[in-house]
Amino acid sequence: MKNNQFKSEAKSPTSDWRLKPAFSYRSVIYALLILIIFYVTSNIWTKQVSEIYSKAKEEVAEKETPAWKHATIKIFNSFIKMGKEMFPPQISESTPIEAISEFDPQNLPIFSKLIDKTYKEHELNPDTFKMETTEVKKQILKRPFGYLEKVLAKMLETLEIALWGTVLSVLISLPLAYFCAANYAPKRFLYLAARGIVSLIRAIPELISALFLVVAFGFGPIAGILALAIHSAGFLGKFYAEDIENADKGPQEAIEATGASPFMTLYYSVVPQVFPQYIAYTVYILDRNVRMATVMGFVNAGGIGAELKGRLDQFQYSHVCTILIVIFVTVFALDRLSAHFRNRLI
Amino acid sequence: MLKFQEVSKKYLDGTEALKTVSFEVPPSQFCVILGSSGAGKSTLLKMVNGLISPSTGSISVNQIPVIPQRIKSIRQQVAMIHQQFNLVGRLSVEKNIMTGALREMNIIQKLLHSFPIDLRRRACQIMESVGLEEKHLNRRVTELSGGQQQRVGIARAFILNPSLILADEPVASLDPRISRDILSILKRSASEKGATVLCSLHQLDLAREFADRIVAFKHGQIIFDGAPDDLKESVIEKTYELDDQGLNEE
Ligand SMILES: Nc1ncnc2c1ncn2[C@@H]1O[C@H](COP(=O)(O)OP(=O)(O)OP(=O)(O)O)[C@@H](O)[C@H]1O
Ligand SMILES: [Mg+2]
Repeated sequence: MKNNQFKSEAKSPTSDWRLKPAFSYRSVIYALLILIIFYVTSNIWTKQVSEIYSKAKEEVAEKETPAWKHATIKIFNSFIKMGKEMFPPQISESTPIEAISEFDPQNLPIFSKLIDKTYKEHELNPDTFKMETTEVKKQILKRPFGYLEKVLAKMLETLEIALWGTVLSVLISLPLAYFCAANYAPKRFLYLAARGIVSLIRAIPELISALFLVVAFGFGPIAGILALAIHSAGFLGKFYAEDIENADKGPQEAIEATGASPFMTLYYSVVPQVFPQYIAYTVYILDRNVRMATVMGFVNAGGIGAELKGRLDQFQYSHVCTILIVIFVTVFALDRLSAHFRNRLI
Repeated sequence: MLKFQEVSKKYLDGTEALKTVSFEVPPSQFCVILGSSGAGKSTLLKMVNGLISPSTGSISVNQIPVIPQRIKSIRQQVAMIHQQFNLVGRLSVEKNIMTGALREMNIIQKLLHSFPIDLRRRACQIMESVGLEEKHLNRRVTELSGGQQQRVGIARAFILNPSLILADEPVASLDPRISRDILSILKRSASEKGATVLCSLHQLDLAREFADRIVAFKHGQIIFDGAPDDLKESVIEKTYELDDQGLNEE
């Protein structure tokens, strides 16, 4: 029966063989669907573009330049303006000594010096009801690297937040991974619960959980650490568990056959197999957490972000520039370092 | 010692790997199982230590039934040498051997890989007896040759004096000289300690040379059971012949 079928098929001339069309009606439908989605969603940016354009049109009503050119120049100019204000980056810091508690002139910080500066102060004279300008002499402590030091200290705090967030996430995700691995979870409902937790905590963006944690713990790094830990535990738990599930079955069978408990089977046959991969995941998460920790300060959850946000809000672009440079240099250096580390390990 | 009673195994996909198999292996016998690829040899061996559970029938080792509730005491007596070595690639030779003795250690020793010194000394003795050297101790097993890896697998099986050894093609893919060495090691260690050996093999000459008894399987059924000298050409032909059924199953 089978053989006959095979023969009759083989006999049909090749000109009769049905060839697959280049486009199936399915792929055409998918392509149309994608186009429709693009079209429907495009007003997210087209609306703003037309606003910018019509505003530019009003502004150039009497002039020669076309509106689109005017709008483009305006956008470029605002970048250039920001860029100009950024340079030179703010390195030094000057503080009036009266603002420093327990100021000790005998014991100045390294590199720093005292400067006398006169300020003009406008004051309302209560007798004459006139504005009067008085000259006030103030002693200023100028530290040539003061601001850079401050930013570096904030960056260090950021790194510490990332480090502890990562440590905590590893501690949370290791037991989670055990229950998330279908072949090791001791009970079905524990497996489902662990999977649920992992997907849930992965679904909450760090900045949002940080918002709530700040309410509970107050301003400061604890909220940042916990927010990073929770989110990355979701990632690590998933990755760790998948590696456990995909590990080579042979060694596991062999260790199981020696009478070892399931946990020891995992510990001796799976852990050595997945270890380098685990290190790679963890380094990646650490890398990512450093970047995330730089924005934790936006919601007052510690780190350099608060300083960045504050300076931006006050349009102090030279300070912003110093912060950005420190962030970029640190992230870049860490990226190189972790790549180097990963390559050596695998 | 080892008893199979009307054991059959049907896998989830419907493959009947074993069909009502019954036989007994007395203590300290070196029993060789022959059979073409897919005859059910690995299935049979893995059912003895509970890696696979039989669909029907029962198995017992020293009168203890092989059932989930008793599996701990079964595995204390039964050691296995696996068809694909099944060593833990990133662990050293010594650690691989010690994994055979995890049940003798406390939790701290296991978690810290800090094994008791008497077991470590014993591992050295066993390594020497299977022809591994001191320089191999701390090598990763992946840096060893196939023959050396198989010896590590044998050492792992012997670390705790099992009374029954399941050897699944312990010499597959090894050269004839090493094959002979390894089977002699197996046979010697077994006879010295009075252990029973159930060993599947593909090499007829080796089976004839080492076996006390040969059991031949075809399509999950016993077609021969007897002394090596009684193994006739016709049986051998039948064991390894390629028939339609065999081809379709492949
Ligand atoms: N997990 C499984 N699921 C389904 N079928 C299986 C499974 N394991 C083995 N089989 C089938 O059971 C039959 C017996 O397999 P088994 O591994 O016992 O053979 P074997 O005699 O050890 O062969 P070989 O000499 O090649 O190792 C084969 O047909 C195989 O395809
Ligand atoms: Mg097999």
